[in-house]
Amino acid sequence: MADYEALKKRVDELAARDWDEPGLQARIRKLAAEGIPRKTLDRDEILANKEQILDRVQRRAEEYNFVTKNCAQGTALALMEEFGLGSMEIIKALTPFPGVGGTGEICGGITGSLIAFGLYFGSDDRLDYGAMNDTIMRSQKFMAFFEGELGHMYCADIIEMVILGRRLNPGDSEEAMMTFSTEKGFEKCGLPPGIGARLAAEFIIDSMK
Amino acid sequence: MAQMELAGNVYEVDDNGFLQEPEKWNEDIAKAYAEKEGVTELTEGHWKVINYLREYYLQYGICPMVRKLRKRTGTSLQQLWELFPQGPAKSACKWAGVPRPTGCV
Repeated sequence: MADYEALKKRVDELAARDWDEPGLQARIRKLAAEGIPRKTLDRDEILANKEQILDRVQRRAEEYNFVTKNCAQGTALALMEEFGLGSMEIIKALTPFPGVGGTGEICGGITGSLIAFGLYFGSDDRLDYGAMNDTIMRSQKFMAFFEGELGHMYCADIIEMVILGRRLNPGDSEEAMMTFSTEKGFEKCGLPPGIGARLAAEFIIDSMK
Repeated sequence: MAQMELAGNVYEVDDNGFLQEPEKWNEDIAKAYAEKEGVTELTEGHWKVINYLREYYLQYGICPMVRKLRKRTGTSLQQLWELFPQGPAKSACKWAGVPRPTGCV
């Protein structure tokens, strides 16, 4: 069951955070220019530093969401960078996915995480149905946990119940986007990417046990 | 074909333990499957999902998508995974005695 009071507190913290926007932009430009560094994942080291990794992924997802103004991209980039997955082309492909095309549908904190799941758990063999089913089941379980943490899976519901406390779809119009921005929506909306990326990273790390 | 003993009787099952003859299902079979997954008591929430799965399967010959299951039973995804340890596809469908869902749903 979502703890709305605790979530509201975290939303307020995000709204009040001092963001290093130039530093974050430089970081993303570097990733765009040089690509996502490949990593050799050391299982023992990762398991030993799990909490530290989860904190870092959560923070980066919040920051990337803020600077890209895109929850799906922010979530995916934090996870892909942490685990050395995929390419910046995938981040580009995620451009229309916040609230799936700005319609208030599935939150980018989910979409971005599932992209990382596909890259990590999916198979290079397109006909490996076992790997496909396994990845889908993990994804569904992840979504259940996400819903448990935030109370909702849909952008419109999360904005209404957790982020702003009222119904507003920033994708509806220029005016709605302006209102969302003025009310620190982009800062506050770091919450679902942060929670989603943290949960997804935990699923990935726990699968290494 | 593999066989499995459930509630004192032997039934044909697939490689994943899903009942192959849905018409032979009864509530004791659901309870037996649940016990194998560590669930000792089936609640109203379990039966709402199991009964909907059975009704849907008997009407359409397939399992409903999770979205439909959630909407029609008023059960959130989180609740579904709490009620059924391996989720709606691997646990709920099995306990309901309907074939294992195939493909992406």
